[in-house]
Amino acid sequence: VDAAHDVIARGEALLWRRLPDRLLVLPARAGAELITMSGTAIDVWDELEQPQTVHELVTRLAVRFAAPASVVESDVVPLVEGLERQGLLTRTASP
Amino acid sequence: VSNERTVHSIAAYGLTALTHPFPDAPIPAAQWTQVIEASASHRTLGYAVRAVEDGALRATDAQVEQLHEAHARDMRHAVVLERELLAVVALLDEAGIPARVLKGAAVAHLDHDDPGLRSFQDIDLLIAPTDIDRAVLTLARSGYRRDLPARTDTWDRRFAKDITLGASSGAEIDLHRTLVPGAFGFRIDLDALWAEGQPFEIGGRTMVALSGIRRALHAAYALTAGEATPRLSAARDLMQITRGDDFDVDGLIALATSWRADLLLGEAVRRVPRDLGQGCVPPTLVHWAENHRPDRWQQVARHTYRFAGGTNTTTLLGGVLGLRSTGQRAAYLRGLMFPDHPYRAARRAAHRPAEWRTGARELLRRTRTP
Repeated sequence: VDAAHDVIARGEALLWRRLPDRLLVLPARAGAELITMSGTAIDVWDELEQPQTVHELVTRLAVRFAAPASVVESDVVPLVEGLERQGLLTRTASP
Repeated sequence: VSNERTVHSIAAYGLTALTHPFPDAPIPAAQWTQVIEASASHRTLGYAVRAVEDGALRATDAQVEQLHEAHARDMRHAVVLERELLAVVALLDEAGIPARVLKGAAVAHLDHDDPGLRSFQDIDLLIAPTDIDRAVLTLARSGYRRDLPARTDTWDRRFAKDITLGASSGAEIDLHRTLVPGAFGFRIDLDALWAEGQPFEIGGRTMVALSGIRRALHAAYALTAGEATPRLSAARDLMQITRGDDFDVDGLIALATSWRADLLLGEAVRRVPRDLGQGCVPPTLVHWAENHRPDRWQQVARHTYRFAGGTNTTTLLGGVLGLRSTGQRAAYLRGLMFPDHPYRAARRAAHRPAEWRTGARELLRRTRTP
């Protein structure tokens, strides 16, 4: 299985607001806590307006920040996994 | 440039050339705080944030931080309200009760460029009169508490404008039977109000709002008969909803006329340029409003509302003007003047003043005012 080709998307049952300096996300399920994101997490969220593979996400962010893809990948992959654990992103395994 | 002008310019930001340009330099801290508080009460903080981000409204770093914090508070509340909205609509759905999302939660998603631009402080849902008792019961069983019992056993489904319920989260939910109190509220054709909803999505769930022309007319009610001092967000909503070449101006005018609300629509349309500047609403609508002559019934009904010098009491009593049969009028006045014991007891327990005393004072004051 090539995890870099899994498709990542924003979770559906989320209520959120994009503010200039932060992103507020509240899962719709009762009792869930409000999550405030900043920094690279917001960039990842913005890029995921359209679902895409991890590879595509890394490539886009690397272009956007003019950084080596390997450096971006080392930052973004754990971040994506953290957001998945919080229920903010979903992953569909590559076929 | 006065604070008031700055607050109006914020509410109008991004529309056309501002009638009142922003100050050239950051305003003093005390004034800035007042501008933020006023914009929060007008539900337009999102436009202040955008104006600052664009560099149109000058602010110091500390002022920007203060604004961002105030806006973030509004937005945290907005998403909490939306979660409550999802829960309420799910409960109503399970009970087979349809609902239309009204006002802030709907227009923020449908009519403004970003939902972060439009704050709101409660949830408003339209419920059909035949479902309203069941809706209140359904929500009460799940822990929502109404602020006061019904005035009479048939009041909610026959005469109430809305019923307020509180959630354990602190959110306020208003279940509306109609859009405004008093005479104009009773002239709204509720079947026509329910026709042609517009779907939209919140938190992955599809909700239904009123159609565009109905949302526009609701904003016009809010700018006139809804409040003594309307919020600037209502003017901005009306502009946002009516912008675009495909907006059905003729349909809006026809609907307002059929509900005997063309006077209110005309006043609202004439008010928007005063609030937000020229060129904000479709020219055909402005032309119609400037040349429109409402009928005598509407002119009389208008005077019962607070925006035209009336009081809460005259608005409520004026409701008889909008009811069509003697039986309805008698039942309405009976409910107003002699509400059931649980209603009176709950008001006393909440330390609310006796209605007849407040009403008599208001009427006396109005009679004495030249």
